[in-house]
Amino acid sequence: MNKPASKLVVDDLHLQYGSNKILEGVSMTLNPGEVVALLGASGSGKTTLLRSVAGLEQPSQGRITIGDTVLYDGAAGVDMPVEKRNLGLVFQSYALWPHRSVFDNIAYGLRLRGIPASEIENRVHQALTNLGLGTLAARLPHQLSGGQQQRVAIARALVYNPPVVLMDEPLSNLDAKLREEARAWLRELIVRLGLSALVVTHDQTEAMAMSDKILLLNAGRIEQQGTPEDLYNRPQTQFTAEFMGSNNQLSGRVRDMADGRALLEGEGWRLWGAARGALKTGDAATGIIRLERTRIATAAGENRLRTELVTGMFLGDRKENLFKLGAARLRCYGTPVPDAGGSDCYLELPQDDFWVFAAPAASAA
Amino acid sequence: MIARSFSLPRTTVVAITALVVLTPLALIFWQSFLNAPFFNPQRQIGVDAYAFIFADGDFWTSLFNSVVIAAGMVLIALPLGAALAFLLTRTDLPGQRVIEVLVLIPVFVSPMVLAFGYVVSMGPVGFYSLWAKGLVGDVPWNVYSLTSIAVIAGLTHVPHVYLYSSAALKSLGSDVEEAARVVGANPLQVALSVSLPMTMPALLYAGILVFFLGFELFGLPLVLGDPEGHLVLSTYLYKLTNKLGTPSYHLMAAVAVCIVAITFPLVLLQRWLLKTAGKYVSVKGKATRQKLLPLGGWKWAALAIVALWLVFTIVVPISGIALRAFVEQWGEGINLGDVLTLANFQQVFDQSDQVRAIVNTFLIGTIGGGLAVACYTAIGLAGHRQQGGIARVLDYLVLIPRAVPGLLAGLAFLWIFLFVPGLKELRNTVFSVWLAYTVVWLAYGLRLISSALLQIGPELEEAASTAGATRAQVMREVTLPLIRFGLLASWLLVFMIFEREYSTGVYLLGQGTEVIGSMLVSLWGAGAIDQVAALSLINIALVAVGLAAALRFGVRLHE
Repeated sequence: MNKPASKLVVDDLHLQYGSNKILEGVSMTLNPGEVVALLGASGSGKTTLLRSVAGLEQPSQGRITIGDTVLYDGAAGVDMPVEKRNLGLVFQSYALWPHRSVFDNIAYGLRLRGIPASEIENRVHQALTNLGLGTLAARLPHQLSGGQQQRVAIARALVYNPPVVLMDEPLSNLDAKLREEARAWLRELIVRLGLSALVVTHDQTEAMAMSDKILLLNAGRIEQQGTPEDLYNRPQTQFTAEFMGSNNQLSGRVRDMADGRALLEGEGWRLWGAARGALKTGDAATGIIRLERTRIATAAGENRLRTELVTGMFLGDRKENLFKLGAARLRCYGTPVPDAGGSDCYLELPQDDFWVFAAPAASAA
Repeated sequence: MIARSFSLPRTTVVAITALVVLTPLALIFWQSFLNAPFFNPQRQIGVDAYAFIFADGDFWTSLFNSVVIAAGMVLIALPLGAALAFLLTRTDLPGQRVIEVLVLIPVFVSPMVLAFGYVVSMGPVGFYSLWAKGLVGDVPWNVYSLTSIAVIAGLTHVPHVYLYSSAALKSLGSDVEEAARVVGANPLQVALSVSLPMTMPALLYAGILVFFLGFELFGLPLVLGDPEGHLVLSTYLYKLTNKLGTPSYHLMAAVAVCIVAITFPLVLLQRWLLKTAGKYVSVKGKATRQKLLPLGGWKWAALAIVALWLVFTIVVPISGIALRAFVEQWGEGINLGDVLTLANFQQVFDQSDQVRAIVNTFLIGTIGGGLAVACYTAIGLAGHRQQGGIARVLDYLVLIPRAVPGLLAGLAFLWIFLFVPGLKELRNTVFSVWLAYTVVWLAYGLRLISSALLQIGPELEEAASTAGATRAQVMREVTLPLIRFGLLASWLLVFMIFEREYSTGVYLLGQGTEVIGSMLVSLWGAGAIDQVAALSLINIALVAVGLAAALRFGVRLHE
């Protein structure tokens, strides 16, 4: 399927319900052939942003364009009706019309565009084949499994070649096992058909797996955007660091600074870490490290902690251990090596992987 | 879907609704401040009408009676309806499925018919009265007393309370009750400390409903209150004409305004309750399969009480009518075998106006019901997924007819058809009755439509919009097909309601506009008992056909 190469641009979008601000100045771009994930916790505004692009919500200011087409412009008073925007939207609940067959569900968008019946037939069957739904055309939605319904919903959104496909939690209605397979399948489909897609998800793994770029939203603002690697490996804020991956966290106070590194001190421990953001000696700060970067060591050493092993959990492909350091708890994969006869172990937190963020202003004092 | 600005069809629908709802009310209001009928050139603006009725002792007596009856109804219907709901939704009472259907019958039988049924079965020479007299030597009751009217009205309004409380109980998850059991409460304690408080908003709502239905009561007090001269507000209004001998429209309007002044605040109170009710039941619990409370030995006692109520509200009046329709006359010392006859029906079918009444009633239920549902659907769709201005205007517009008793609405429409140029020609057609019925039952019909619309997830419509369908296309191709079963169900329910309706047609009754309901009122006034019995039975049969169809198609009998 070939698409006009046009870019989706959202510029400084604001949206509020009454006095409740949902979006507070969100800007983003989606290049042709690119998949962008909108990631965030519930209430972060990610679905609202998607629905604003679709025209299902009413922003209060900002601008949304695709190529030369203005979908919304608060200043100019432009608000293109939903049906004129020519976008594809896959709903979280799929929203298949229960009174129409699979074929009619998919064909509807084409009929609305006045495409001749024979071509509709061809294109719907093409879409069905593309999505592996070959023989299901005559079925009604309730006769399909969850996974099949999802594919019909996607086919329905793609069949009229919209410049951008919007997906609202496309995988959340599938059960856990199916979801991983569907994730790989969906990624393959997007790449194979060269789609431009904006995908809402609350699952960071899903976001990283499916998209070229992630927009992490927090309380109506973009916290950070970039490639999945950027967000995972180079978080700019504590929020991003915490949201992506599984982490160990230690709170303390900065005792020393030296060429981009900070010495964090807590009760009975001091660790050097990579300073993130504006830090100075004496600040309250939080150190964060991914679980998989935390290493088990056999003896004391630089940037190592002496901790007490609390328990181990067998997870199948690996073992996760829980350690105690004063009031703090640390987790780490691998086989613990207890100190001569006791239950104490050494953990190494490599300096480059231990990010030190300034504590939020409210709790800094 | 977000609210889009102005659209022509929607604005038209709202404008027409406003016109048909507000004009009659405005007319009544204006008329009440004139000292003569509004078409009289000598009329003057003033408060004479109010001065007259406020000086009339009968007005105050009937107001007092109305309050007594309404309060009595609440006292009787509320506990019984709530208990019935609890028995039918939460316990293992035998025969629930049958009882659930039977319970609703009083809602669909015309109160005029019911009242007549009580006269022929329990009046001084009623079938059951004479039977009781044979047993104990005297008739141990008097259906014509004020207390009896309140008791009968209360018992026949139990279903209204039952409907609201059973809906509330059904939506209440059993987990909150189970939690109380686990903590150590016995079933009775659970009912009193968890179920009852959590259904309180619904009970309060039903209580207010019954109270204001008490003020709108017309058929029961008309028939049962007559012999001893007990007037209520609506019958006082009805009898004002006879009182002065001339059409005293201004006086009737003044009484009408007084009735609306009582009922409208109650309607607003109900609406406010409904809005705040959501806050009470914010924690709904999970709707898991209900575990039924075993009643043990009490189950037969409970069943006996329910059966007794059913016998009193359904079997007694309806069997009385059925019997009376097939006898020439009835009184003390008459042997049933000697007086059996079909002559009553013969009489009905010999009278062209009564035949017309039957035909009109059937047409107004079927075709008229269908058209009414079409109108309600148009209004429902106009407010569908709309926020702000238009939706709020519609909300309140719909509330107004609720507060106007059918009798008054019929009167107002009579005036409109008499004196609005262009409508005069329609005065003597059944259209005038249909319009009045449709407006009077607007709130009911719209509730049916909106509960059907509520079933549709917004994303089904949004999906069509994003696929490129305009608003009109979305409605035509997604919304309407999805509610078509709901519309059919609404049609059946509206059919039954229109068959049952009687008070709205009273003032519109004339050649060409006869319907069974208003005909019954008029024949009763003329003392034509035989024909009242036959027509009542025919009316019951029509409703029964609708009920049977509804049950056959699995229509839920309430919204």
